Amino acid sequence: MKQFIVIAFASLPLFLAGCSTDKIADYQPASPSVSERTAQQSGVEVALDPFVESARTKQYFDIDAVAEGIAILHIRVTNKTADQTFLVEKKDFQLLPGGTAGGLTGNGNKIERSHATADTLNTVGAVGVAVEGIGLIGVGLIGLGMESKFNEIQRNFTGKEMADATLSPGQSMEGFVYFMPVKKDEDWTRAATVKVNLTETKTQQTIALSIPLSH
Amino acid sequence: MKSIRLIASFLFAVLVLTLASGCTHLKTVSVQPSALPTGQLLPHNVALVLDQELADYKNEYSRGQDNFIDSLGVPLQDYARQAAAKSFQQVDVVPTVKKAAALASADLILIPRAVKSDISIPVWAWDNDNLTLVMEWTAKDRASQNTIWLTTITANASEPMGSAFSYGKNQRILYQKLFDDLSLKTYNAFQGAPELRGSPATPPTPHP
Repeated sequence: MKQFIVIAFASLPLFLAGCSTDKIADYQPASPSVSERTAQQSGVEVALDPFVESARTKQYFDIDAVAEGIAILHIRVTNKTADQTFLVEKKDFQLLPGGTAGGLTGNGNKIERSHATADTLNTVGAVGVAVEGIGLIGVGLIGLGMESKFNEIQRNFTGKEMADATLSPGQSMEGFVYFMPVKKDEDWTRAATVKVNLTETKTQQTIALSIPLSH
Repeated sequence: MKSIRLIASFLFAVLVLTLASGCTHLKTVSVQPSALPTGQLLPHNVALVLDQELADYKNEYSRGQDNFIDSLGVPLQDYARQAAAKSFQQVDVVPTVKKAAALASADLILIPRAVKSDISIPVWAWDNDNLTLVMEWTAKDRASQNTIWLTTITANASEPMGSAFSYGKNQRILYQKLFDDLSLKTYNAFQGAPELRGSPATPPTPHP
């Protein structure tokens, strides 16, 4: 028991080393990005940049979204008309994965903790209850550190999400839309298409675009 | 010696129970009205919908085993009233869209909605609490009920979490900063929207 306490004390700084939450990098899109796909209709241009590289999702979202089955799509919409306003809403962006009839809608739901990470957190919590003395406090703090990190990841997803908005003449807007679940560890853009519906506010007419993601 | 061991065991059991069990903390957030510039009032008579969903909005989060529920209904309603009153020539508050549609004196229906909130809580007292609140504002032409303007506003605030002695005060500052950011961004969004400038909204051309 004594040995256990000594080991727990000695290893505490190691466990707590990652507890402080670092700020996740802001996204500054290259213009235009090499992986960007664009389409234009009735004076509206939509540019899509799918995040299919784990490294990029880790850099800007602090999570391997590809491995977790989250499709991250950067969207830029430009209204090139002189007198029309368009309604741009996440629910009107639909991801149609290759080989499936149904689609996923970017409806702005919260990205919940992924199953893998939530399981890890729960495991730590369960161990925390079981372990005695200083071990309990140490593991509890690790759990808090992980929870803090998850909260920051969640907040970062929210902060970078594309806003639902009307797009005035001559203006552009951008942000991220998230689709889940997609197949884990796979290139979700393969044979996939994004369908976009934008409504003009005065006439209530809808323009529809279909943008293939695969090259 | 036996009694000391008994007391130590009891204290240890209390410690374990304290760490392992969770509580729910309820709080009603209170903030002061934010300072907003005095600009030109937009030429619309607005029916501002402050519905039950907004009144019931809560920021819910957990820290360890503890759950926190911060009621934001009152400050959200106050903020919506203030931002609208500072921006439009006339504002009438109504509880539902249906009542707004029936308000003949209004040409515009304005609907604020709290979309979501996220808070990241640090482990250490000297690190920052970071709070994000996403609000959506929809403006509908009262006659046609069509959406003529929509915007989403993301407000952010940071403040050191503080110790057990300063936590409450720091939380008040955090929420005040959040509503100051939200109010100014909302006011600027109203003022910067070409769809809300000029004469009152005209009914849209019916779609054939």
